[in-house]
Amino acid sequence: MDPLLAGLGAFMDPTVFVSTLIGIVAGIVVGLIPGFTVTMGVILVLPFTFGMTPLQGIATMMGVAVGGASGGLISACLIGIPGTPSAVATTFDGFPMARKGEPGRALGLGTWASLFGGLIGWVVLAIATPPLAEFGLKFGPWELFALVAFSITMIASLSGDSLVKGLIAGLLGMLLATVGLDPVLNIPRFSFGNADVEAGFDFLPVLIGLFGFSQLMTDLEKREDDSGRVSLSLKDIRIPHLQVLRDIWRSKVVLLWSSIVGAWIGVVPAAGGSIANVLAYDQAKKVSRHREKFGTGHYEGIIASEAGNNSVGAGDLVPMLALGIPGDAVTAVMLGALLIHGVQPGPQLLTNPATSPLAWGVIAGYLVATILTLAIQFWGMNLFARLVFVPYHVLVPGILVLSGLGAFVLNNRVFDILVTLGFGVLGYWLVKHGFGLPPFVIGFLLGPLAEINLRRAMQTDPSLLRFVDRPISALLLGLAVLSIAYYFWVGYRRIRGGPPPAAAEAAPGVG
Amino acid sequence: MSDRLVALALLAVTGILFWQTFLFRRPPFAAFESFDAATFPRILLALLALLGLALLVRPSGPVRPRVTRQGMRRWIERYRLPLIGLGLFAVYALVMPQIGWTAATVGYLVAMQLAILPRRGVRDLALVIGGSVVFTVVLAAGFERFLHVVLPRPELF
Repeated sequence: MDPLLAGLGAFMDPTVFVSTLIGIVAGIVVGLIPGFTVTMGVILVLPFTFGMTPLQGIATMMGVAVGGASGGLISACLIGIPGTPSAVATTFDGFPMARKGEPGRALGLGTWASLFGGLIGWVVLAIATPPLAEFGLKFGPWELFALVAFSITMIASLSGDSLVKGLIAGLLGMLLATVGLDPVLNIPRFSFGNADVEAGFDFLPVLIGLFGFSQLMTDLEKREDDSGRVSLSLKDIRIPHLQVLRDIWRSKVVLLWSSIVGAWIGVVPAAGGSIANVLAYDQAKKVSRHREKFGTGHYEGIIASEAGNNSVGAGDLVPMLALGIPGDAVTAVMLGALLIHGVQPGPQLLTNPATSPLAWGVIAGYLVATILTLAIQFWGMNLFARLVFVPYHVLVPGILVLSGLGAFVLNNRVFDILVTLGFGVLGYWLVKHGFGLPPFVIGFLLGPLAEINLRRAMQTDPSLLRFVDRPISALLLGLAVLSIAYYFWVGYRRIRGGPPPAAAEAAPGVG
Repeated sequence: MSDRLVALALLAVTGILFWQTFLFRRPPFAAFESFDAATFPRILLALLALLGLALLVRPSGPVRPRVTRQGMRRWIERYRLPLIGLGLFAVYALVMPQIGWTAATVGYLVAMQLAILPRRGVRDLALVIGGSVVFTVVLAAGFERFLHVVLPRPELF
């Protein structure tokens, strides 16, 4: 309890607190604009955190992540387009409810459910992280390599339609991380004599290019400009808090179950908010007594989706803080930010007295950010609702400039802007051909960890049998194989005409 | 591009890079290292080649998609804005060292907005130019004054 209180104390530092507030506002804005993801928001604020302390920087990014997870519901309810992929299921009931003349109730339900989902997720984060970190201390190079293998196969099997393409994306990410100097002997690899390339590709330009550019180019392709948006009257959005809280009390089982589902999905490396909210929605349908009302503007649908996608953020932080393995793309950026600030993620982050205050600060900060998001969202709801209609021709060029600037700031090199562009083209190409970006990013981030631990393991004992005769390593590799087998099992059931997986089943009107 | 073409491209790239790994320098002190600088990339390339083969033999669309004039026109129409966006950004990054960050950014913002903007009147143009200048100046001041970042200065003038 003491470290948690110390973490809360650290978060009450005025600079950290204000940074979190700014992050939340930025997150809500990014979250509510369709086409702009939370990952992109976190990436864009990253360069601004370079001059901050590690806790202040992480607090800002966490503000964006928490605010963004909640902000997506605003456009989902008001225009029927999810602000972020993690608000897809919110549109199923949020938009119909708003069209029935109750936009305030829809937004209120989503915002309150986000708070309760976030709080339940936070409990999981605070309880599960310390023992997992203690467990992580037992890991040797064999276990660490197996953990990376497990993460890559999990994300490859969960994040797209094709396991083969997911694995290719993950391995491509790992391969591109080998460009530059070899970590042991300092031998240049794939640099083709270019001094800039010899230094390797920094994480930030790669990330900005992959997520920022590919997303913006996809938006440009769809031309999601002002013409396509159907607006509701935004004259007076009034939130009936008492009615909303009564609705939530009546749906306590749905809320609790959806939050637990979300948090659990977060803890599993790779599965993110977009899966969590659809799965939570599907689960809510199964436990609800009003199953037939889902998809018609039913309050339980909004509660389930928003509780699920907000608890997942806390769950995502568990493997990141305990093991140094990102739960999704957002935590991958945070992990990269820690590295940029000179903090080495991993089990030691929580157990080392020097870095433990930072880790507990992050845990405490999630709680603070979750509560602050509710206050800010209600306070500025009318203003935020109007921001949904900011024209794309203003947003896209501005964000592209910010992306280039963010890449430049890291090393003051124009080369990094070109790297951003190069990875932007690659990211857009990958998206167009059905390759998931999350496996690529996780591969890029964890590739060096995999290589160094594989080399250490082979130097200690050249026998590959050590990977299977050590229980934890064997378990992780077994899970990696199981995640691949699960993918094939789902495919087999689909071919046999059995029930489709939960995600597909969740859409309203089905079942 | 069908999956099979992607697979063929992947196989070609992995082949070239695999050959490249034999050109990595091998210092004398590392002569007896069983796991040298090339080993890990080779493992990855071998796995990528295997997956490329899996993608190649999987049922997919035709290897050579039919190219028609109409199809081409539709393709260009669909990807016009992303291509303009990427092209303009490439020009922006390449001219930045010559004309400096500020001039390059104003030029890029104006060009990009004009490319996306559906209707263009004199008022629109004025708003675009004014907005771009204000945005650039505020951003430059913020980064240079508060974050102490030295943005690229012009080499030409």
